[in-house]
Amino acid sequence: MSDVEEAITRAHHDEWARVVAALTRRFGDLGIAEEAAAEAFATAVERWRADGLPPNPGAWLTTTANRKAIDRIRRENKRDDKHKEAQMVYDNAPPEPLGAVDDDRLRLIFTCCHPALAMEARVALTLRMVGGLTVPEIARAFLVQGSTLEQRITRAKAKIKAARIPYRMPSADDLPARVSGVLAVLFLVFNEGYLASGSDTDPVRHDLTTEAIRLTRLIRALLPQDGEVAGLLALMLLIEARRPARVSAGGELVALAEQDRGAWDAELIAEGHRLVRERLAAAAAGVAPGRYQILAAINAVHTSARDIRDTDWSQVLALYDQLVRLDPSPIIALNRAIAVAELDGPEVALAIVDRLAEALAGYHAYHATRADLLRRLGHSRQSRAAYDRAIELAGNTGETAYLTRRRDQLQ
Amino acid sequence: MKLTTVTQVTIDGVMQGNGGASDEDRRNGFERGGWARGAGDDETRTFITQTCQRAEAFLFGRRTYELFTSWGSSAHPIGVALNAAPKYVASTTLTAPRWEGTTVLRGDLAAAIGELKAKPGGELQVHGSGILTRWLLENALVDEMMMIVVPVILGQGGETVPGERSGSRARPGRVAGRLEGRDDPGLPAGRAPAVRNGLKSRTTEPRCLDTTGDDLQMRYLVSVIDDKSNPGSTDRQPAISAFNERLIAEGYWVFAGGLADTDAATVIDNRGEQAVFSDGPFVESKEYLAGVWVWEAPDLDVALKLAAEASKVCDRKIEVRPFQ
Repeated sequence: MSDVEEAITRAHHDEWARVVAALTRRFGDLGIAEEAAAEAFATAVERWRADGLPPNPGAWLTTTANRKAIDRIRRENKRDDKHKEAQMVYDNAPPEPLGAVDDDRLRLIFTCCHPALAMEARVALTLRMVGGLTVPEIARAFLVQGSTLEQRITRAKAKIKAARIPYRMPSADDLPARVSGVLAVLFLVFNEGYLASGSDTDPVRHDLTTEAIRLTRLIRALLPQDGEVAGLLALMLLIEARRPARVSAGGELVALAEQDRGAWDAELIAEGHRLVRERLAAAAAGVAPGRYQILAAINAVHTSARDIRDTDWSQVLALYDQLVRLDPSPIIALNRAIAVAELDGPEVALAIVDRLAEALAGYHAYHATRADLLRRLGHSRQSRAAYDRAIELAGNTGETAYLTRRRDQLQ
Repeated sequence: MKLTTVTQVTIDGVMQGNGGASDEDRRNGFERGGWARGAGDDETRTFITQTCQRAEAFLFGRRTYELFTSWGSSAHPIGVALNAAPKYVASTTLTAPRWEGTTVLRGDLAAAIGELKAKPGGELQVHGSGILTRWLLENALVDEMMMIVVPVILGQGGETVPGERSGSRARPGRVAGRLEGRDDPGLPAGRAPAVRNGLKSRTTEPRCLDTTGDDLQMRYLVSVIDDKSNPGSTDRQPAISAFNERLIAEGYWVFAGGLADTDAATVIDNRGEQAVFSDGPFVESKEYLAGVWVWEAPDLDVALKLAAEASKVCDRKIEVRPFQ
């Protein structure tokens, strides 16, 4: 890649959200902001190739996008923004410096992840407006038609306008709930990458996990004091670190116990551990950790063990106990049971798992966990039936392959 | 305090629609709104910021006030200045302003403003607020006018700077002074306000202080949904009444009404040859509309917060839907 191409890619990563956010604040319209930003980047590709890089690409993009937006408004003078005019014209101040609490990009993120929008719309809007992914890219990522996704984004923008979803920081008492809403969107994107649900996609979608981590890093930079943001970033990093060992050459998912730990990404693990230590220090100072911080700590225990046999299961169980108190969902209880199996044996764990039958009957991991516990107890027939059910329900190609092999290895 | 008005004006004296033409403007044939929209240069921004920063207090008309409430959480120097200073609003309809430091002036406006002017201190600034500014001029309450001339000629627009008129347009030279920035001592002293031409206007990119635009409040239809198979509790009336009182006191309330049972509904269809009446609701469903509110709120977050309370108070589901 030439220097210019590289600069364009970098500018797209670094500046897209900033440009869209500043334009949205100024013109009070996500649609205008999105279109003008896209035009500015298209112009950059053309001009930078011909004339070389401007001294400050970010400022160049912002100015160009502003001009494009004003041109557009002038062309379509019928666009009557009913509010924000005063701010639009008064407030030409350059964007706040990075890290300031009311960075425009935060407003943009909170608007895109507004709880009044459907979850799938939040995901699509966030990836488009904040992440700068194109509509076809997002459509491919979520296996929907481009036109369907376009419609989803258009409808969300129309609702933001018609219902007047505000473009501002939530009030202090709403902030924790709204931040957790944003994190839920990012974790969903990450999870879709980490365990892709499509029956004909790769088992791990590197593009989605990378994007989710990039956006979480951005939020971490914008809200450095938020423990849950740090927790989610640590969690993602520690899971992402294991990616190289997670899929076998044959495309089969490799269980944690069987992974080649030497293939884990030491740098990501170090960064994740640093964040977890930071949150442990805060917890020691009396700040109660949220669920992402506890999940990150659990993953820190796993990634600290050089061998599966070195895993500090009592620590894992203690963390799950803490998590269950925060979130008594059956899925957490299921994961806790896996730690119980290591400490108290598969029989105790199976009793716990069986109590979750009703809540988790349609969840493949419930059947997979049961199958494994039954196998360890020597109940081959029952184990086989549980594997069958898990295979039926699993959507991920690598996971299906793994479960099938385990089933076929039963005596 | 000295009463200073700050107004944007075109070269041909038009004041209306600097941010965009309102529906009302358009009905009256004014189509060239938005003439002050776009970027100003640094000098202009500095000038506007410094003007706001030296204000002792602000006086607004209701529309401009509502437009300016969006500065309420701003860390921009203008927002800081607006938040720190006392704010007065001339309004007969505004009841419970939520912007801290606001006082609503009602009743004898001339007397109230006279009192403010009699107080010691610097400037009582009026930004935009076209209707109020005209009224202040008519009542000889303006000490100084600051005109920010945007170098465009519109050739239309009936709302012009008050003054000696030729046809429907003010004679702009009279009030706008020169385009070079300096004090213009050209007007007679006495009751007439001193006119200051605000700044050197080199740029074609405009600034905007006022819109003759629409009301900033949004209206939401708030529906109370009951479920026949799992009805909410029936003892909620006192709590609902108390909640209504609060909605009224805080200025959100427009309308509220409980509905009779859906059995009492009649559907009329007169799209065909003759009107057909049928007994019962238009759609038979387990869930039905038990009552409605109409609220006025600045945005959906405010409406949703109230709706969350309403759901608790009514012990029922609530739907919030914006009016067009």
